Amino acid sequence: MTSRLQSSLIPKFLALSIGGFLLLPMLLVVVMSFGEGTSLRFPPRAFTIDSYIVYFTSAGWMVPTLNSFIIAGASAAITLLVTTPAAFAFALFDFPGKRLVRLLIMMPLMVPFIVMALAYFFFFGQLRLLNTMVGVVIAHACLAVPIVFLIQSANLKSFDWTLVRASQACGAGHFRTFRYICLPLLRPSFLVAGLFAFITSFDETVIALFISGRAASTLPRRMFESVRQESDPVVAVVSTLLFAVVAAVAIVIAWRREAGRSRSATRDLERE
Amino acid sequence: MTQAQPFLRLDAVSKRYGGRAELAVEGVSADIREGEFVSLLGPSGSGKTTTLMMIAGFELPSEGRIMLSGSDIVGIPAHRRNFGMVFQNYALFPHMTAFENVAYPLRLRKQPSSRIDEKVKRYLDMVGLARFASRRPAELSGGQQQRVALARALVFEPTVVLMDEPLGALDKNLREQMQIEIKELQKKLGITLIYVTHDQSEAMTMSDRIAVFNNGRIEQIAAPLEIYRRPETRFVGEFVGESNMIEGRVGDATERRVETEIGEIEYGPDSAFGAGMPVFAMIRPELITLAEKLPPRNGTQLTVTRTIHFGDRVSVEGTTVGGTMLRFRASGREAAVCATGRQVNVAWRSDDVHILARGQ
Repeated sequence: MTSRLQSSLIPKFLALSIGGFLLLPMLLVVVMSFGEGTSLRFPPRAFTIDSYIVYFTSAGWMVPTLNSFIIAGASAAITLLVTTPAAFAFALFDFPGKRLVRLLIMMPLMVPFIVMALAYFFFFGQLRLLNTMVGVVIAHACLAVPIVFLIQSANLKSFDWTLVRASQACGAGHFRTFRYICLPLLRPSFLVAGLFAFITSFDETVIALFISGRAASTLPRRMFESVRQESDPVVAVVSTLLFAVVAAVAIVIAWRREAGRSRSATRDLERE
Repeated sequence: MTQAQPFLRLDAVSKRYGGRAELAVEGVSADIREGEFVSLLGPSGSGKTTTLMMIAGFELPSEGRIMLSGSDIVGIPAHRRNFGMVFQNYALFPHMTAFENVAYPLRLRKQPSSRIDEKVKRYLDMVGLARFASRRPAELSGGQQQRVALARALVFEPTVVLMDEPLGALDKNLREQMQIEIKELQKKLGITLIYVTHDQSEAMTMSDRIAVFNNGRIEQIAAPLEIYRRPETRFVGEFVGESNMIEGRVGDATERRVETEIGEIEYGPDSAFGAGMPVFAMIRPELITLAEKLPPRNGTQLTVTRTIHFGDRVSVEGTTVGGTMLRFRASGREAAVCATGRQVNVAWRSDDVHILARGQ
């Protein structure tokens, strides 16, 4: 009895303490974001929402935020356009040089960020892509391709390919089979893959520091400059907001999964 | 039969998978009539499923032609052949209800929605699932799912229906019930049906004709009873039902006698073999009976080595003095006589002995 109690308490205690250890620094940032004054300080002397107003009203913060959304969106779109057909080809066909192509796709994972950043800095300079959004989009897409390709391949591996044959036997060609069978069934996993591509770009700092310049400055780059130059409490605001968004997404996903589980459970009951 | 051309013809069809030396399917030829139920029967890896996939259009033959009403369909992609297909794992679309699954082929054919509605309901009713139209596949049992798949394969009135071990995943009782339902639907609707199975009793009960596959070839294609009574090869005789194969050579051809280790065996009237040819004399176990005393011919004495009791009957194995093993059936009442180690006399009728060629 006591041992069972212990065995259920110990993991809980561990989980809570690890969670606290990881979350505490983030909570400090949340508290600091409401602090008064023009520089970061803990504990704050008084609480205000001044820094939030600064963030949402200054072009110096809004433009990089918008840039980051545009760049992350565009690079996620490009990444999906490249990885989806590639993942299909790898799942469906055997072709000469398959392993070599896979190695090439995975290559960006093996190169250190700083090396890639330098390479892009010199290469894009020649192509006149330095300090442009297009340049950052391309660089971020290259970064996301291996990760998203892995996710897409895993998605397709668990896909039941007899459904494709069943659809063809019903009279649908390749296009209509993809449109009516593959796409609806794979859409949730495509969305997850797209989200990963988006986050990969949104979160990326090293390459953005080298090639985005002032014209195409991303949010992480702006945050880095802010901390280095002015120690502005707005950084804490941005961190808090990002933290809130990520937490919200995680909660929504967990909640939907839970709802789906209980729904299928009631269906099982109906069948009885 | 004065048919000018067969409905579906396989003409020396072969399939080689890239890089492999051996053929998966080797020179398969068959003529299938309209409205006929043909089973492709064989062990796994015998080429029956590959043959079905080539008819469906999912695999390209390496050689040979597949003719439908006289024209070659090899170049026509699967989705334009208008063939219905039922798969072993049901392959229902999980994001669609039973109704939507059955409606899918009709929607692809751009039929008006009132007609789709009417036809889907009729076909769901035909397979006994009218009440389950709004269920998704995950909410249906295996048997119900396969009925939906059946309705989906039939609803667009396909030219040919192909089934790939459709009952393989169902339990025995449900399987037997579905066998009857499929057979009745096929007869009622006059469907041309090609049915892949490895279950010989399934093929026996359902088919008009059975094509027995082995090593990528058709060993024999004939009506079920013909296959059972007069198999042309040893493989067919042993794969379909139980059999005793007794090695021998034709002795006197006009007297129709085979010389074997257990003496001369007379055989039925319909075999044409010359004297001296190496043959098997095949006798089905249920055609061998216990005898009071040893008959002068068409019988032998056995020492019982094993008895398996089924309640109503027993399956008995015994060996002759020369070591030939024979298997026969006895009624439940005769079980005591056939106890292990006892000596029994058995006999058979010469008409029940079938002769088939024996390779070297």
